Amino acid sequence: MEYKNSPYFHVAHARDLTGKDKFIYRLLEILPGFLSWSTLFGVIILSAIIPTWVAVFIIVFDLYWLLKTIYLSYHQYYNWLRMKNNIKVDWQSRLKNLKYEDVHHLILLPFYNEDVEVVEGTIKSLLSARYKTSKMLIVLAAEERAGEGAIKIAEEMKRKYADKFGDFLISVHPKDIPGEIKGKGPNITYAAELARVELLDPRKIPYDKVLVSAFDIDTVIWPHYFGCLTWHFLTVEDPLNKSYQPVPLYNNNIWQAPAISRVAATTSTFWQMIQQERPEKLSTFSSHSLVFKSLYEVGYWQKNMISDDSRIFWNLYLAKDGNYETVPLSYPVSMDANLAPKISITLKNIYKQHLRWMWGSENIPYMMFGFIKNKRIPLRDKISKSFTQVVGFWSLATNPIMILVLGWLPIILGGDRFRDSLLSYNLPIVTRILLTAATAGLILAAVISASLLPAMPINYKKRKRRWFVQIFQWMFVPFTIIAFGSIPGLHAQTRLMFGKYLGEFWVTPKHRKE
Amino acid sequence: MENFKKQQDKHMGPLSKKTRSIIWAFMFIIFIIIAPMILAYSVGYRFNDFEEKFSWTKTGGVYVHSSISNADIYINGEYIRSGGVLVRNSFVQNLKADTTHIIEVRKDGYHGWIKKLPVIEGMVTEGRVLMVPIEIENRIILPFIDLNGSATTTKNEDYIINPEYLELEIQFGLASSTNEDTLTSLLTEQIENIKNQNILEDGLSVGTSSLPLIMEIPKYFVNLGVENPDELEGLITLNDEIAWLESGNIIMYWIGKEGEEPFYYCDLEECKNGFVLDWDEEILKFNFIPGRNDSWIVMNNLGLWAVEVDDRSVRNIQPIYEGENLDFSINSNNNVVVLDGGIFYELDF
Repeated sequence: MEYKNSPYFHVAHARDLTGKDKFIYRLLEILPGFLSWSTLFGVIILSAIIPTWVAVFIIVFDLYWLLKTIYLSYHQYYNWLRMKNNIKVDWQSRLKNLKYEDVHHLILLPFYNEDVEVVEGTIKSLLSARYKTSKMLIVLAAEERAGEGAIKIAEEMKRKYADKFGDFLISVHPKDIPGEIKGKGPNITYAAELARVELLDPRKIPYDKVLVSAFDIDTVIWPHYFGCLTWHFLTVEDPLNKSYQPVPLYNNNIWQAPAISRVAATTSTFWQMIQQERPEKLSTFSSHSLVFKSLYEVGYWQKNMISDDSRIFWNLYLAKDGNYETVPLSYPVSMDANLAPKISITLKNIYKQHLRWMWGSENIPYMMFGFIKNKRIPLRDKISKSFTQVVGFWSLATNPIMILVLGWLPIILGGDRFRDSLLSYNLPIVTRILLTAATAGLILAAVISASLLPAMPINYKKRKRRWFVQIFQWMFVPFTIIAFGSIPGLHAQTRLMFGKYLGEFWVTPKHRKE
Repeated sequence: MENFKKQQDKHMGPLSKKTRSIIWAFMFIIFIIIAPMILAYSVGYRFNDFEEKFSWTKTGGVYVHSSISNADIYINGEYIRSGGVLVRNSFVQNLKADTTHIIEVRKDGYHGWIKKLPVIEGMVTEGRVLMVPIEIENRIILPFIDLNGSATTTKNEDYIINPEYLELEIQFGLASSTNEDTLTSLLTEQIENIKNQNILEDGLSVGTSSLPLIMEIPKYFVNLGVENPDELEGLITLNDEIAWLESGNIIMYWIGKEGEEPFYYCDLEECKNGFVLDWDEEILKFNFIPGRNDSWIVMNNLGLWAVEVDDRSVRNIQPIYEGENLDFSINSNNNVVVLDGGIFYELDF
């Protein structure tokens, strides 16, 4: 039996299984939280018992952190160059030499209760793309539970823009379908199936010639996105077994968002930029594209869990026995940074958004359980993928806390004998030097983030001051990586560990100031 | 097809695995080389430049606590650095281990502090600077103040008794019954005011107890073999340390938890539980220097002296006030007040 037809292919959590499978899956759900909490408690307890060894570990770990920063900063720098290059490339002229006329783009735009301006902004960006809009099939995917307002917006958009695209379909995802969570996954899955029935099949468009782009509703594409995507689709080996990942820039409203929001958002962008240079570690995230044929074969996105954007990668990876990859496009799409009318609400929203992202750790048990069940995936790949994912989420949740907070514990808990040692006195000195060196990476971050900024609105006053803040906002990083990295990471892993699953996709409110 | 190949060539792809592997290997090599070096440095290993031969040696350090800003530190006569304005403590490492080093702290206008401390490999020896100004400024506390708050020695129509002076008279046991009554009435008035205020604010009255307290002898006295603490002369308890006078000498003990003794109780092998300050000249009176538990103010027939408790090498002793037939006490401002020739001098050091 093919893995995609197995009863556990669309499992969301351990509770969906029974017997031994449930037990194993549960253990795998506990794993990320167990590793993170063991690490933190381990550092605390061992700081009192064997402070010397903990101090040695911290110094070595600080050095590792510095070198890792340099290593990843190089990846980020290279991706920056590549992205700048890809932005300049005339992808349309590159496509002239390829047979791309029969490629269609099915663009899914799920939305909930966002303003008409946000929806329209996204559609307008599609119209301004340097790509034939006749090849774009738009599905504006509304939610029934959002009420009449959402449907009216969808109809208004269709009335205004339907004739400008290859086709324009409105899907209204029914509410309260058993087995579905309230979230994006069920909506885009419903929309994709509706598009198959109403757009692709009647036109007899081959599924392997349709690229599906699942965009968040605030996704403003850059002019050559579809050219870049199509070029990659037509030139990569084995294109059906690939997802295509752009770089999400959270800069639609970057000049309006507060500094902390900008730092948190841009840090996420930077992580994606780094991953773009490590394709073997890249899975799909947020707005992404893939081939309809592959998507259809696995039953679209899962409807019973939160992290549908990254889960679709693992669905396809397991379904295709490990023969599936994400192609880094190194081409940007623009989205909204968190912004609310009040800073306190903005901070709360950032936390909730990051909690949802960190809830991506729910893919660890799914992936590892799949590795146990699917014997056709090479063992080396299983180990490599498991290691990458487990260590990735563990690092996010623990490393900033270990380095910035727990590094001083041996001095506090280590007792007089340790406190009198040279190691104890040198621990803060060495840590300070290594971490100060590591913050040099922030200079690169400031330069790259400044280069990716859109033009400041012309009506803005105190322009120099705003630029100054844009550069020096990076001093918030030690705070943001703990407040919006480690803590939501631990929060998510702890919930998963205790089986308190997130039951609803929290939709990040989109707010733009006048 | 040719065009396609050209495009492929021009295309800027992700970092190649080869490039990434090379960078990774480079970082790994740096890690392998630097990690042991940093660790070795952190625990005190240095190239042996003491004996000018190519080998490793393990060093130690000293940590000097100081409340004096911008003081210069010398080790074995060699200038090391100046302490800061805000961060006045100094950590000095790279010191040859298993030998003693002369640590000296100097600042113009202050008596220097010098200490010969042992440095043990991989460990840090602590010391706390005791530096008293050479010229200590003082303020005379006079018995009367006028309505403008100016002090005076003579009564006039506008005078009032200086409460500070009155308090000192009682503290030094000089108060006449009249003066004592005056102070008592002043205190009573203040207490009544507080009581009334509490009643107004809380609707509660301040209670007083007339029950006699039955005190048990604390266990630490029993452990020290002291049967009757009331008989100890000049007994002072400061946090977890007690001290008293015995036959003209100061006896001081640690009564806190074992293992939590301050650094000056311990060398790097073991900690003792007490000190004796035994001078040829009889010690008449002592107290701790306000704000410090590692140094005393000691009075003998020659004057007042600041003396450090730490006896790991010769104690630093610095003059505070020289003279005969003195007395001193700590006033409510936590300053030392000397009684000399019937006049109170509040010292500022």
